[in-house]
Amino acid sequence: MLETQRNKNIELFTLSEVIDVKGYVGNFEVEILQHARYTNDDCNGCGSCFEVCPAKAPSGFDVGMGPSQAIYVSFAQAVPMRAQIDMNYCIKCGNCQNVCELHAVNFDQQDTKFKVKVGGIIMATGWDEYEPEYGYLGYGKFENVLTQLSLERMLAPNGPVVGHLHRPSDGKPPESVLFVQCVGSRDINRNVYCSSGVCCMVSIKNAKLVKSHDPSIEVVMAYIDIRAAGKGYEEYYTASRREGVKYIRSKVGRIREDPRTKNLKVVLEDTLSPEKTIREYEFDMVVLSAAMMPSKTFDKLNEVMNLSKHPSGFLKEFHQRLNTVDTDVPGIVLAGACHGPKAISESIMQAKGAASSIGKLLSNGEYRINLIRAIPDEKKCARCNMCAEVCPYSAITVTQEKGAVVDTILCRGCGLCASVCPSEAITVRYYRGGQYESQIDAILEDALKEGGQI
Amino acid sequence: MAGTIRAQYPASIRPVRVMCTARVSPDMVMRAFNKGADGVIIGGWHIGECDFNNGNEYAHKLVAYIQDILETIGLERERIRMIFVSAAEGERFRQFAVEMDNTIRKLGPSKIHQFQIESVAKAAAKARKKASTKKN
Repeated sequence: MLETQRNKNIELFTLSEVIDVKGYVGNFEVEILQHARYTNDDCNGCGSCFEVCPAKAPSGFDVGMGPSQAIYVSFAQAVPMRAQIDMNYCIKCGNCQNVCELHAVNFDQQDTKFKVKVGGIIMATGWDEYEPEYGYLGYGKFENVLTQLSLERMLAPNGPVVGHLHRPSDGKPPESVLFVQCVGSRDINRNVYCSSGVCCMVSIKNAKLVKSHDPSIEVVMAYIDIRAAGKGYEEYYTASRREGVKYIRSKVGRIREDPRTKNLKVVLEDTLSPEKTIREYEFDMVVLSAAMMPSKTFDKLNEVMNLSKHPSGFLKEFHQRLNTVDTDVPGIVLAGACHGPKAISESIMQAKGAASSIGKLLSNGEYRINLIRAIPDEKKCARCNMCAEVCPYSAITVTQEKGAVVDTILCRGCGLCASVCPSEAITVRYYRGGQYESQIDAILEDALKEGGQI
Repeated sequence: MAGTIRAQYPASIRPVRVMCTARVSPDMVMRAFNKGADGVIIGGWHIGECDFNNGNEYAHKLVAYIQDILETIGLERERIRMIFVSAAEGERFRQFAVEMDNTIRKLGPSKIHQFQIESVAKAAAKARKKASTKKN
């Protein structure tokens, strides 16, 4: 991240969101909203202001597991290393301003909007952890049921509990931990897909970490399949078994809580045992391996960008086998988890492909399009607007004076406008209405002759 | 792919190329029936795999709409069908083509087709009669 900031050819906008994208390959115009940070460039992230801030807030980086305050640095390796203020919690007492020797605090900062011209766009909007609905497997209802992200922060040496395992209900170290796989994945009621490449391995890693903390902790993983398909992954999985992590192939239907101890009771069916033993287990803590889902905030941006989505909700690549980097739109490419569940090495691999694809595109200096495009007839056009409404690329604008006008670059030649036009006023070059009439007539020529049968 | 794997399917199936099934319009389909087609197949990519976002979904809706029209004018709903297929599914397309061919053969020529043939036959008979009376 630091290299990105230092690279002279990269302009980094943080606390920013893209709110509009116009144009086409080679000539995109992107509008960016940069939120106010409330500190200026002089801030060096020294942290003197944190100590005097009276307004407490849950830590975003620690997924709410630990405290923070209204003025903070997002995390220890943040880029840029500058404080920011969360105005939802700030009470504008001015303590931070008073204490800052660099005079870097500025409560009057405003959000700014500006436009940038770019030739290509790489989508890297990432993922969010599936949030189980309240009560599903005890999530939200039972204090000792967590998701993997929360456990990660607990186990992290720079986390709120400095890596010590504490049960949320009483702070005691757990003596037994259950990991439940495929929560919100491989589920016809939730997400049908598998968060493959990530979910199983994260769970195995965390199980190993818990075990290495204290080998006496009973660590059990309830799984459907263990998907350890990657370089070194199978060996990692075997190592975890050697270290004592127990794997029981069982789906978890329901988790109940003992109201006195806050322990969790789970029935597991060991489907790999010869007798298919069903037993009720009691665990001090349960960790849910929640699915990897496309970033929640992407939908808002996609109202403008209108990128195609795969049925899973992730972004659609140009071709599932032959080109998973480009999208249907020339100039827009994909990298990372926005395309599908993906771990670090695959994300970087795809990112290199994305950079290469855009680099190749822009280095050519020109971009060729084919001529299969919609062509309107201004005289026949009734200005009914049907074509503009159905166009998946928003390539048509209809005005009273000119009728339907097609942007030849945004148009991709799909023909939807031509098939819906009630006036037959718009057609597609090489696929014209008249051509179809002739084709159909010619094919069926013999059908109408005496004794006609094709 | 059906061609690549040399899969045989009935010669009664004649393809008309579109760049996306979205291009298929109601008047194209009805013209085909009018000109004597006994059945119409619309073949598109699987849902979610359309090259142009979701054009095949429009075609899917179109098929339902046309089926209602067919029923209203006295033709059987089975005469139009859509298959969602990928370029790798040559065998599956072949099976579908054979099934459709069998279905249509069982249903026989469409009423429109029959009517058209009868009118053509009547006109031809009339013309022959006129020609023979003229001779005399």
